[in-house]
Amino acid sequence: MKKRHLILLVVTVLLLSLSLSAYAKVKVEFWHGLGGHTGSHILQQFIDDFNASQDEVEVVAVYQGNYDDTLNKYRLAVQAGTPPHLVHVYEIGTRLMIDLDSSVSLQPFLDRGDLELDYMVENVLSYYTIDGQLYSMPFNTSNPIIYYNKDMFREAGLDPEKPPVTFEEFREYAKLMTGDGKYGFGNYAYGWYFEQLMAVQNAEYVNNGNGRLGTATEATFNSEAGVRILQWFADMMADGSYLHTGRDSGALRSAFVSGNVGMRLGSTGGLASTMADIGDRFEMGVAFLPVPEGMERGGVIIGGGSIWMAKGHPEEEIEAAWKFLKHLTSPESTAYWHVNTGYFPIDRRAMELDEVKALHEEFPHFRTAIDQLEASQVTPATQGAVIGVFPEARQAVEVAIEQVVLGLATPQEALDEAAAEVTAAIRRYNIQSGN
Amino acid sequence: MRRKRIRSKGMRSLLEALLYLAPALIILIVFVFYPLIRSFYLSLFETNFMGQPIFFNGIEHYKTLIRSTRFWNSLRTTGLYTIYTVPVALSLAIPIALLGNLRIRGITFYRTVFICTIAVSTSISSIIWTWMFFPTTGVVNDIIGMIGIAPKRWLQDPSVALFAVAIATIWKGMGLNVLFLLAGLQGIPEELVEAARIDGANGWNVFWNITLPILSPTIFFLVVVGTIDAFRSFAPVHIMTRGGPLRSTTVLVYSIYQDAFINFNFGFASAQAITLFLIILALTLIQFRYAERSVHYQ
Repeated sequence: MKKRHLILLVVTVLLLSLSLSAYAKVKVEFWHGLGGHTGSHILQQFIDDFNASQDEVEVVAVYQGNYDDTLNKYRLAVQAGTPPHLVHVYEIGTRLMIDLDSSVSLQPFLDRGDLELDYMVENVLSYYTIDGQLYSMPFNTSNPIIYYNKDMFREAGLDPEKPPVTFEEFREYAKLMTGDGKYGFGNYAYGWYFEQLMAVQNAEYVNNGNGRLGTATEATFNSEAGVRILQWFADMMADGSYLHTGRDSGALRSAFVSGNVGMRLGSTGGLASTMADIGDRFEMGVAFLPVPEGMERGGVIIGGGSIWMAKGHPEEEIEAAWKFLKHLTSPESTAYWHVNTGYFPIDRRAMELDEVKALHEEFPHFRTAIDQLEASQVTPATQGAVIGVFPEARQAVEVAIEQVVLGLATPQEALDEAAAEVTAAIRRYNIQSGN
Repeated sequence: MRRKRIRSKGMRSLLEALLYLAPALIILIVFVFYPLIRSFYLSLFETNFMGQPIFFNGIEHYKTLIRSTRFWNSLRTTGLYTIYTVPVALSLAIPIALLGNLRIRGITFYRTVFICTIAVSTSISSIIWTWMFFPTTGVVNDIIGMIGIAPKRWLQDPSVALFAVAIATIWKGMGLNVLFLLAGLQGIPEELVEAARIDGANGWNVFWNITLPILSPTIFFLVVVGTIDAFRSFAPVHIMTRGGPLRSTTVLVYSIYQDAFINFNFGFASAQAITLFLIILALTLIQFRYAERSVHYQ
């Protein structure tokens, strides 16, 4: 009698637990590097909506600090054997992520016909496709544009609908807007802008076709094109029209939105939040990055990040993570992301949706970066460099920028030093990774 | 037989002692001793970008270190940072603590104002100071502008950036310094001061001959701890300047961070970490050997 009771109890518990697990959603941990409002509200809202929309997958988003921090924590987690299912990595971490060999290629999922990427913007897809494999899912995609203060243009007697097109015009306009505690151009030492201004001139950052034809062995950014960029900065510094805010994007943002800086370079991903910060204070315009006079425009490199799927999780969880990645690339998702942040709608069908059309009608600003990308030629220079030591290279370039704007070195000297340092780092990396 | 029993008794009490110490020992072993040994081990190897050793390198990293101007610069920066923070912080904290020791109305409020920086995390105080140092919209430039000083590029100019970071550090450390000094002041026996006054000592005599000697163990403690802290300082630099402009604020710990976690050069970073450890150890020993002579214990 008692034994029968016991058996009954065990069976009931077993059945209950089975049915519970059928109802329980599969948890997917997602580490990302999006701080501020974008991460805590816009991304979170997106994930909450996804979780509520179905009862199979529960995505848990964890902010891990900026891109560098996220990548470091991920590497430590891989070593410890406890990586998250999904991790958000900046574009320049692509080579390193492949060499780490800790993630699942997405190609098999695509090959089984699960998702059509026919509508994905081609430059984006090609950036993350290496050796014919899509390694990670493109997510927040951006490129830099000029942000400018139309009111300051008017005060300086400039036409606010005619932003500068060349380096030379840019310098001249900056000079006209300077004075009375205001600066025509504000900038912080940020290697990404340098990389983009190289691509605008169709110049490569490293050798061997920017590391795309073969493993890069040498930095080449100390070329004429590189020097031209830093000389342009130095000239504006000499004019007194360049406000240098160190390595701090926050200081630049505050100077720009408070109306103390006429023009700045900035990521399109910050468009919506910058407009919100400015409010009614002044009218803002955006424009393509400038090119040196008389030079054909190369283009811009895809910036931003993509999402990688870590190895070593149970099949069921991998499939759940894949469901989220699929959801991420739908026209509706990319439209939501574009409208709320300014990052690209990476699925072209999003452009046909009413909310996107309405946004572009009201704020043509949101079109600028899209047009700029479409106008880009596809060359190794605009596809971006592929090296494993990008974070280190960026730092070296940032030091070079600082040396020049502080007047401690000529552009050529500063870049030669940085290039030598990056070349040494590339060689070390190639030894370490066995390339 | 007897000796054996004694030995086993000694053994027992050792085991018992170890049992009591176990929680602390385990934490120290896991978080201090093991990483220390591991760092030393790694410093002798070339590592791959996962931080795993790939081949034995002997003392090659240490040789590179000695030859590297960047290392000497970061050491110099660390030294300057310590000089900017420790003596200045203490010489500001002592008068504040003396005032805080007066028995007047509202003194609790006064003390709270100066001690409250303990409750602020280093990251948050660094962020607030970064905002205050903003070149165009920062309040620091507004304030010095009011007294006729031209605005400075606090965090962008290599000649003042380290100074600016030090100001933030001093502010943050003020609470702890004042708290310890106040505690020290309150331990001074009234009779001593009264006796001195009867003998005709003025305020300065009392401070110099009674207060300071009795405070000296506290001050010594704060100097030792402050120096160690300054040498290990990371957060203010990381948040306020990321080591820039032009590495002018790259203290040794920040250089270790950059080499390990940005440049993936774990072997070299470990060699720097071990060197830093030896420097702090040496400094602390020197302080105990020489500075402690002028400390007066009650």
